[in-house]
Amino acid sequence: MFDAAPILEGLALLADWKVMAIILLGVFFGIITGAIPGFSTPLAISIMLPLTYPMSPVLGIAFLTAIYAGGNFGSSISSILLNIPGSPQAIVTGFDGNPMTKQGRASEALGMAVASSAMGNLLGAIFLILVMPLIVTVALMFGPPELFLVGVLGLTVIAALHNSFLKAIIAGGFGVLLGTVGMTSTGAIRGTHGYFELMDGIPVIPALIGLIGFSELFYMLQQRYVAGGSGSKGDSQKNLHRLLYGFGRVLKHPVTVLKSSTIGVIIGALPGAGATVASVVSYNEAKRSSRKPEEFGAGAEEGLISAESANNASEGGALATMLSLGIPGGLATAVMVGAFMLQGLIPGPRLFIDHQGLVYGIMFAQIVASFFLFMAGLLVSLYAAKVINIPTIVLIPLIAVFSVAGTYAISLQMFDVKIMLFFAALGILMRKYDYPLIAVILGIILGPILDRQLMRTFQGAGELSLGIFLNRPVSLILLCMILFCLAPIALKIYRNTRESLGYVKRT
Amino acid sequence: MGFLRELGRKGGEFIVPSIMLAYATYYYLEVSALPRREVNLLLIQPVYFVILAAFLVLVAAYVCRSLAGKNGQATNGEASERKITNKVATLSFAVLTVAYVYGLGWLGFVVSSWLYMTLLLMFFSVKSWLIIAAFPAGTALFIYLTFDMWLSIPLPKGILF
Repeated sequence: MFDAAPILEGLALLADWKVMAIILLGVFFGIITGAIPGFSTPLAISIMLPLTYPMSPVLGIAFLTAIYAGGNFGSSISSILLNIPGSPQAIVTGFDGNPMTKQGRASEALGMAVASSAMGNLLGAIFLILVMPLIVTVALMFGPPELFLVGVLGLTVIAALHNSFLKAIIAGGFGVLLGTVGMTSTGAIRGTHGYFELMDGIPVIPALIGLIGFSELFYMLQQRYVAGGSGSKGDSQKNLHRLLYGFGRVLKHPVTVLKSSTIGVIIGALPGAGATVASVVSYNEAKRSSRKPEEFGAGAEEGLISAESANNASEGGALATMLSLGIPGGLATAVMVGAFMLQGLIPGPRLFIDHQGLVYGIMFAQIVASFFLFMAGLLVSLYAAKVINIPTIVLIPLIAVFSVAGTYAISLQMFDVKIMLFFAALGILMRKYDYPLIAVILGIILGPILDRQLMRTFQGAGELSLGIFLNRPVSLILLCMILFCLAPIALKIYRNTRESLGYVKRT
Repeated sequence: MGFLRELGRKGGEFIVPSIMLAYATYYYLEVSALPRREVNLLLIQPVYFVILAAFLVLVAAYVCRSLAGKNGQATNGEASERKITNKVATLSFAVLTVAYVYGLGWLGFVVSSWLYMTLLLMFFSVKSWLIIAAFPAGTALFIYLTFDMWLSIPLPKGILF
């Protein structure tokens, strides 16, 4: 029978100004730290973890989830304005967000990002409350073969990233290989070249900052301002108007928001997949189902909305798995498991039985955080948009120093900073010869997921055959989805090849 | 022989895929030599062969295009639009960044960041002496206070600070 008492108890926990204040503070802290390249959400949460010790459980956990929500949006600010994603989940946001900035629509893009993030977060929280048992059931149906196919589904976006399919494949494959570097679950050490720092694999964030961020600075240096037409003094009222206009544009795409958030929640609930995979899969789906797929990558509103909604909604899914099963889906939720333990609580099925009111309180705190995210996001964006009015010769030294500090802060190792430099050099070369940088980063992120799950599939079945994937209903559905995503790309390649051959024959 | 001349002239196009293929080959061979080859190569082997096949098709496509007299490959436009024109500033930025990263451990974060930013602003021909004097010092101090003092993230300390 439906019991409203724990829900009311959860709501009562929130009826305290201190909870509201701490959520607002967490959202602000998350947004600001998220906007610094390298300052990832897990890092921000882990820094604030000791502060939650003297707090009550609802206060401490609400604070950390608010940082999580703010960080997811904050990392998109630098991605949209400077093409430097604050953390991996904001990579896809930059696909269309940065072209919008270059078209002089920075405030509009930020407004859209704020609205999509807040809505994604809100929908994720609602999903979390309403369908958590179902999400957990679905997530439990995902074994290694299914998680491998989720990774492959994420990889299909690589094929659609660039005009040259071959360049995208080479770059993506190279990224996947880099993603497999390090010690495997079988104890084998691959490709570390004697550097013990590489045992856990190529550090993603330094690679991301170097490849996309630092290499961008070299090209940014060739122009006076980040976006053409900048340099005029920003009019705050005009900026606010544009931000709100961007917000309004999101309301014109309710299906995209809803679909992307659903994808975000489901992928977020899968252990190991996370916000980056959620945004990649969602973006791919939005492009596939769009009436104007050719606009994706050149400032398509749907592209930005799909990426932002999905990566923020994934938080709801990740919290569902963490709260109900005690399984952290990623680094951020792993730190939050620590926060629960600090409060003497252990996430898992018992948490629901013993502390139902608290769990509902945390879920409702997510909804409150979504509203605060909207307000704080607009306020921060209003001032952040002015960054593009700073001349690049002043902006570049500032970004460079922040990037180095942010990269070093991840694990307090100069090795990470050197990795960033190495990838910056590679990024400059790749930009010069028009190779998709994102393909390499996606490969580095998805490589370990693919490798680990394929290895587990092999170890579980004792062999590797297509039958393993065909005999499982969920993996069969995923296989169909992969083929569905690849079909338009295959058709495009076929047409291009036929045209090229026709051209050769005629000449 | 026309396409070979073209290939030589526009050989830069193949720098990136060649680096990637060379690394992939080295990595594939290294992992092949490890015990339990079949497990360790589960993902690496198919990915390596995909890269190899894509590289060969890329070269073949380039040769076909050259034979047909069609120059280069279509790009997405961005690369052709974004070229490095300000070579002095770019080179000074590259050299100073490498020096900064390697000097961090020796001079410490605050001093090296201040020095790095000041030199960059001078190389970038920033006219305002107020910006050159105050901006690097302010930024380095702000990062130090935020990271080191407030968030307890220790930044590299050198011989000075």
